[in-house]
Amino acid sequence: MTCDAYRNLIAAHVDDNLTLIEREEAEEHLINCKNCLRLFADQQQFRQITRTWRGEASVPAYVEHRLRVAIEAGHSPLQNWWQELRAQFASLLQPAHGGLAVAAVVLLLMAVFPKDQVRPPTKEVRTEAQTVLDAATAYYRAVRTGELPLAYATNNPRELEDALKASERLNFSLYVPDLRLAGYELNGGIVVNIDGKPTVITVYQGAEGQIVCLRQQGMMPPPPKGARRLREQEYLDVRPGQTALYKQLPDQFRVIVTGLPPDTFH
Amino acid sequence: MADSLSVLLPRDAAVGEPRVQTKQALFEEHALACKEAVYAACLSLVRRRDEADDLFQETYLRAFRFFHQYTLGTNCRAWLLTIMYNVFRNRYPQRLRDQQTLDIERVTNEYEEKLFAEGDAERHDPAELFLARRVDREILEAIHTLPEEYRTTFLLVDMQDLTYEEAAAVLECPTGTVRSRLARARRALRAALEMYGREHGYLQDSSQPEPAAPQNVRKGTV
Repeated sequence: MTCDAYRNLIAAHVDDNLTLIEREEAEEHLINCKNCLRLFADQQQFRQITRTWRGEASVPAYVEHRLRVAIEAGHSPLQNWWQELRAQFASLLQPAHGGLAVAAVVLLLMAVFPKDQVRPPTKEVRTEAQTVLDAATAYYRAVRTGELPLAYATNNPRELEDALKASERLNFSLYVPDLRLAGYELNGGIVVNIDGKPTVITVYQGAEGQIVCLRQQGMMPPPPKGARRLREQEYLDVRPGQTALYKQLPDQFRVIVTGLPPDTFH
Repeated sequence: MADSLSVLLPRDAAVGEPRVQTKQALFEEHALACKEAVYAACLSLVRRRDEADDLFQETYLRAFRFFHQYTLGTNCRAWLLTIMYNVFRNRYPQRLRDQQTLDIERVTNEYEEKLFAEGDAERHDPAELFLARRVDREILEAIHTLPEEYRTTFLLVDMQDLTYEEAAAVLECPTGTVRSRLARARRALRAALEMYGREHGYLQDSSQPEPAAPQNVRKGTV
């Protein structure tokens, strides 16, 4: 066995993952090659050390929150109900009379429920808007508490635009507005994935606190029930301690969130 | 009927029948129980934290969508890591996946030549010093300097404790390839850690009796 051949197998030798023949050849090589023997000892020692290292263990709260919101949003109540019903009947149904059993269940359901209730309901209009708002809220909290540093920290809107474009992660053209005249200075931005879409989140600081601006490509989600229409494609949703402005731009929509309730940070 | 039910719920490897439990409850019990390990893997695979967050979320959303394809009783972590690796490959073009910033061949050769030259003299172990001081960011930085195929192999076998066969299945390559990539990855990482140790003040020259205390722990950015 040559030194090159042995060094290609050295990890498997350290892990005792060689075939019997390979191990015999490897050990024979080590008897004759001091350098490879030294490398073997060095690698053995290194493996002992790396065995204890597993990297960062805890998932940040905002990441887990965002994931659970996304899973919840993609899990319709009807699907859940249907799955549970099918699972309940699983043990009773045999392949031979599966068809008959399904027909019986369908007939039973049609008899018990009026037609409108059996039909799958359309997805709740509130869900999508709430998902977006929840995501913005989660990011707002993470940025505010310092849990998530802004990947692009700059107060220059053009610089941020260039950095976001250079990331090559956006599927839409982006304009970062300069809100200094309105009393807000840019803190920076970040690109994340919300509901499967690349999303830009920018954070501004004003005298009355921070605002978070979220942008995605696509149609604006229907604003939550009770949102007030300000003008064409623009809605304002005001709740106690929380305000969200939904706005459709030519190739994207944006949601501006501000004045989140104090308990957001608890 | 059992076949159509398996579209909805993962199969139980022990009895071959779907279990009567909601998808969300099973997902919580099996997939979300591995979330820390998967998150650590995402952080090792991509350099930036926001990208790791996205990779983690996309992995779990896909896992949830295709949870019926998971067989209960098999290694759920390996299944999740397969999804993660596929998302990673599909999402990032090759040039972005290869974040290599180090001349691996040169650094490995330099380290090993020095090792051979030192002979049997007692030496300080840089990696041990790193780990003793738990400078996770520096170790992660060293892992990120590895070429993608070495980085993923090291991540799966050494950090995630997959067998060579399981890692080969995730990477869709022969087991022999895993063995040689792992050998190169460990040798390169060993050398890179030594180099980082010196650059960041954790190590002095091996001729000196005591290693230096950390001087300049770099505050990394996400």
